[in-house]
Amino acid sequence: MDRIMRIMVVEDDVLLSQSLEIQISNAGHCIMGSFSSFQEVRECSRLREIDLALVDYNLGEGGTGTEVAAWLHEAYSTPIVYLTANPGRIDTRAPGTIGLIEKPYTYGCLKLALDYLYRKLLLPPPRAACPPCLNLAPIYKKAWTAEGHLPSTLH
Amino acid sequence: MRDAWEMTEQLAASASRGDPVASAILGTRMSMVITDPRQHDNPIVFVNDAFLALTRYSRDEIIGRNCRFLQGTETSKQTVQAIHDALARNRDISVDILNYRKDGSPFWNALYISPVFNEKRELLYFFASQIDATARIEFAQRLENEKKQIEKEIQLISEEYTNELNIKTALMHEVDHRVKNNLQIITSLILMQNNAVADPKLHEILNTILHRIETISAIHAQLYKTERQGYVDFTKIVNDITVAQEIFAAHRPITVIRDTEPAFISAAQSTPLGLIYNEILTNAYKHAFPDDRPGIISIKVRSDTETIRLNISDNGVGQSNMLTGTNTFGQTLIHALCRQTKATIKVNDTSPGLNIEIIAPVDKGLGAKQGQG
Repeated sequence: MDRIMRIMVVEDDVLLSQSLEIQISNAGHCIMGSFSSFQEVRECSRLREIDLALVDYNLGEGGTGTEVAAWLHEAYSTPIVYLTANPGRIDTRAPGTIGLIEKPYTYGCLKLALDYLYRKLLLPPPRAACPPCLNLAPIYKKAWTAEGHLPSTLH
Repeated sequence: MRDAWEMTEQLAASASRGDPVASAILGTRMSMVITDPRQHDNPIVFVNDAFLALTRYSRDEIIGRNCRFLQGTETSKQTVQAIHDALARNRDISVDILNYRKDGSPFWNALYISPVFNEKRELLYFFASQIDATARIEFAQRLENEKKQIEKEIQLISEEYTNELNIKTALMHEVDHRVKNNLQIITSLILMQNNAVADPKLHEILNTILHRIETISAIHAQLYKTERQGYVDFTKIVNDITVAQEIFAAHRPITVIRDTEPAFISAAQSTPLGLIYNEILTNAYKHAFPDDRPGIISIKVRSDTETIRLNISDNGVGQSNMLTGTNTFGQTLIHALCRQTKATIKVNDTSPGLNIEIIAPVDKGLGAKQGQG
């Protein structure tokens, strides 16, 4: 049956990452880990059970979100959604990238996006409309709006 | 050597007998040369005085020689080849060639050579005329150099501007990035504070503030996504604000019906109008449907070139404060922002419920002209 979505957060701004944790649990999902740098992500050994990673692009001295995303995809095939004030910097065609949510996002939009991702990732075959604040990567946009489920080649 | 001098002597003799053509050839200021291709190495068999004046050679130094003694170190090899090819094919040729005088000084020679045939189409001579084209060529070269210099300067200036622009663009991106992050941090602070308090009254106040800040965030996000510089589609802002309210009141049986058409307003208008809409919608959620009763809120956005019209109606119990103008902070905010945007507000009791209409003039400021087309 249904299970909650296990989410990890990679965000170097402490306030943003703390409020993100609150928003994720208020939205009914589970926060599995909160990281502020690429280094911290690499040193963690329990990333196998993650359903979704929310990744900030600019991690300051802690690297870039794209580095983290590439590594997570390579190591665990973790689906990535970026949270960013720099949408132009992100190549949503990179493997593992589901899409991006642009900062500043409202709590409502984040919740809608999480609910949508929950349906798409954990409740196949899901039927849900993508909320406007979630910009899907081209490949997911095609797959999720046309057939309503993830093609097996993406797994 | 006899052959080489023969023509000069004949022409001189003819001229002395009063032959006008011979006199003209000898006396003209146009430099002229005749060579004899039937002799070995196509030697000069005649030059006039103008040629001697131009090249500063004396006649006996050059009669019998091939014309190539005029060439020097800077003479173009291609031009010499072109002359050679034309002569080999018995064709005429007109070229500018760099030649040298006896003293070694260079001059530009606008050279024209044509073959001379007898009635049996046998080649007899080559006739060549020379004009000193130094002034013309040097003028053209100076022009070309100046053009290159100006092009170089323009390129330097445009590079400077490009650099300047790149710096400014980078700075703008940095500021934009900061603003977006800071807006996110402000809402995060309110959210976290809200999570830490137990008092439901405080919850409500913090949520109201959160919605106002999120309204500004949503407008800010739209500013960067717009396809019309300086303008935003108000319906997108309305949608973002509505979604935020819907999510917050997801547990209540309230349906929002949207009937919106794209309505572009200036960036300056977007914040006050967005805040007005947020206040009215918040009011409806707060007061129209007490005791968790079900209800419908209808949103309508229309615009033309002059005005934007926003209609919010509900089928609730009627919000007494909106009708009587009771001085809540939300009320004060709505009226102040209406004044700022020169908008009129009409509140109609539609029993059941309330209909609120906002009519604002469309800002004709920045970009209005190119925008409307």
